[in-house]
Amino acid sequence: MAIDDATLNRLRGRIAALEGAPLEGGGGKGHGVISFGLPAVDAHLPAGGLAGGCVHEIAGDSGSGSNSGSATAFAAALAGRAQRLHRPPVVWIAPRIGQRESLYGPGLAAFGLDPAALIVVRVPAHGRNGAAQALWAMEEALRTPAIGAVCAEIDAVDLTASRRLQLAAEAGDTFGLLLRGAGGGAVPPIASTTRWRVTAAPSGPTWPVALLGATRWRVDLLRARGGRPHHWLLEWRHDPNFETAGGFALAAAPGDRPVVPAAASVDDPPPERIAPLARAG
Amino acid sequence: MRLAAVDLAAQAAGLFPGQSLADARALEPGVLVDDADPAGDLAALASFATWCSRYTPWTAVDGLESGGAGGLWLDITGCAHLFAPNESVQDKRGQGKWGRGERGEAALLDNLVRRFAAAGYTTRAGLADTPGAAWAAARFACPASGADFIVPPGKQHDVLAALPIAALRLPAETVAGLDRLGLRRIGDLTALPRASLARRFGEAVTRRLDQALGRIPEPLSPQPPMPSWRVCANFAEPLGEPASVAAAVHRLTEALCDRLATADRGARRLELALYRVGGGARIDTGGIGTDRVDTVAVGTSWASRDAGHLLRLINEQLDRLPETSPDSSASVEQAIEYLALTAVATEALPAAQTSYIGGAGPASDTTGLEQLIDRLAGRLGAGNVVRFENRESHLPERAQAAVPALGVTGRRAAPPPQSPRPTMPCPRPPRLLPRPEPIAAIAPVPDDPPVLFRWRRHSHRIVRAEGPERLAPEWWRRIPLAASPPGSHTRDYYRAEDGDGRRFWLYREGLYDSGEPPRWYLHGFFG
Repeated sequence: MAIDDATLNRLRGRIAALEGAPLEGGGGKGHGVISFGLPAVDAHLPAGGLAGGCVHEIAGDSGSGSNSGSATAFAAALAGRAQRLHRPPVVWIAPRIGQRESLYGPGLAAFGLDPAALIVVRVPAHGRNGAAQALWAMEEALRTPAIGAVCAEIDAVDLTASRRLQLAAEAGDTFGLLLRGAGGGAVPPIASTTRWRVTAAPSGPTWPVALLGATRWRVDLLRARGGRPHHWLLEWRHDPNFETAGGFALAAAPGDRPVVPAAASVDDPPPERIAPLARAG
Repeated sequence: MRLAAVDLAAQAAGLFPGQSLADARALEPGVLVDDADPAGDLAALASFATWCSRYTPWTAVDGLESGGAGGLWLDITGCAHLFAPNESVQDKRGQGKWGRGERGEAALLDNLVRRFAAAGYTTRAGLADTPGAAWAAARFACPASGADFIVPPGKQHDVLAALPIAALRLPAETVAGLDRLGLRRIGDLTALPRASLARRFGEAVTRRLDQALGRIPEPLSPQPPMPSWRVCANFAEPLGEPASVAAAVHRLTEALCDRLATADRGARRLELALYRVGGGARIDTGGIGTDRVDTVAVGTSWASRDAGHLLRLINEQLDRLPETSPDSSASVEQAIEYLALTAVATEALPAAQTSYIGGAGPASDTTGLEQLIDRLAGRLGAGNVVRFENRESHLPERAQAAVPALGVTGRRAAPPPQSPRPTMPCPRPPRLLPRPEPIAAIAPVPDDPPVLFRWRRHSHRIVRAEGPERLAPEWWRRIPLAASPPGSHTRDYYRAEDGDGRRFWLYREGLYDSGEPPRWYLHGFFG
């Protein structure tokens, strides 16, 4: 029995609609897709990037309880891309430690997140009350269409709470990032569109002495709705002059490393830098 | 320097207004003196006049008088019966159209004097048919401070006749002139023929006399009423169900927003007062049942008259009250019999264009953000919803300040998307420890990064490092760093990476040549 393409596509569309996943190649139903700006990664993801109107989960480096820097930086980089591709305001829900902040604006800026458009919500660090407040704040923020991205560091999320967050993100067409396991230890599985694990990776070789190269992450895509798990070794190339926001890049083998950070230039060239050149030329 | 006013204790010690300060000190060495502030006194009087609108809407400031006193007018026509005790309303019902006499007037005056006394003010109250007679009664017929005197209806002539001429609100020289002629009581004046009185002492004397006796009218010009953004609801059957309380609050909020819309204003701060049955008394009926009034206050980061938004803010707070939270059954004691919603602070808010085809137009992006900040700040506290601001400092922990996002955004509607410009060209970590934590480190002397350090029971072997970046203490600050030990505060920062690629921000405090051994600290984590 021959099935024509139109029928097949319609059926595929219905299945996709049931699953709540954006249509493959359909432009993501108007949701803003947060792309990595890397064809290798974006092509692997069903939505061509991280789908907007969804909650994504980033598991931290669970090896030692000491380091949440990698996951923070990775989330900041994604939120920064959401700022530029989607809407500028970003809400970051963080547990309160003493009276001080643990997020540091100048450091976030290095990963492309503009601290001027960042709103930090501090919730109690411990106890059920803290988790409940954090979940409430995240849901409220996700329901607000004016928000570009919501990052939340919450460990105590269960399946029901994650469903609620997902619905809130769909209602507000916002982009949610859950940072989990930053304190070490296992966390229960939740309903998220994609699940990532980000661990620090040693710098590439530098010459002539051992210096710190570009920030490197081993990025594991543990789960993706409508996609397959994968892993990459990614680098963050940031512009030392802060004239562009920087971008992701694949960590290349030493021989193939490009001289110019490809991602930063291809991604979104700032028009003000191009105009003078055009006039002069 | 002379005394402008004295209190009762000073009066008892023999001091009086107009006395020179030196005399007063000689008489009573312990006297406490403060600068006279007539403008402040007038402002206070005006606020009292506003406050007195609890008794009547028709209040006015009379002005400051010698001796530091101040006068207020209250026209309580038609208001006194509200204060009448219930039984007397029953008894005296037939007693005349305006209910003069005992019907509530004594209770009103008593209430007024008592409330002022509770606030620490001494008052004399006088009440009469005419402003002039009331003025005289308060100042000359009132038996003592903190008392009141009521001139019976139509009896002002009898009462005034015995009072001194100064009670007629005449200029001091006129009073002195009359005094020289032996005219000391008002009764002496009324006995004289009017024509000669007016000819010799001016028209003021007869005018004041006529005003006091009610022969000619004397209008008071009341304070312009403050537009009060207050709506209230009184329930014959107290509300116990949280759902019905919520419905009532909903109605009140919509009513308030309608009124704000008519005046092109928006609320910045709202207060909802819930009066409970258990309190026994409500306002104005004698008892002061404030212990059974729950007040809920909400603030907005910019003026709003969006009933839905304000209602969400209020409901956030209402849920916190134990008795109104949905999962508790309210007892009769906690049932609510009176609700009042007041916009304490309002701002001009011009009408905005809404969509043509029914319903509100698409909410602008900034409004959504403002409303989110309002909600978050309302529940979590304004100090817990913050923005980062850069500060002029090269010390990392001082270079960033967290400021409450509430209110800041009102002026700067949407944060403009700007390219990230750090204050320092040197790399900074995205996470900073709230306080630098000491680590045990092994480092080659003098300026090398550590090869091994131990922090929170984990050892980290450093494979690569960059540095140092030397940060000197801010010598222009008087107070040294709280966390720093005495001595040198110079910090040498290193970025270090261990074998797994984790990156740390470490610093050494102090220099090797200063004698004491330098300490190592961990300050942050790179991505």
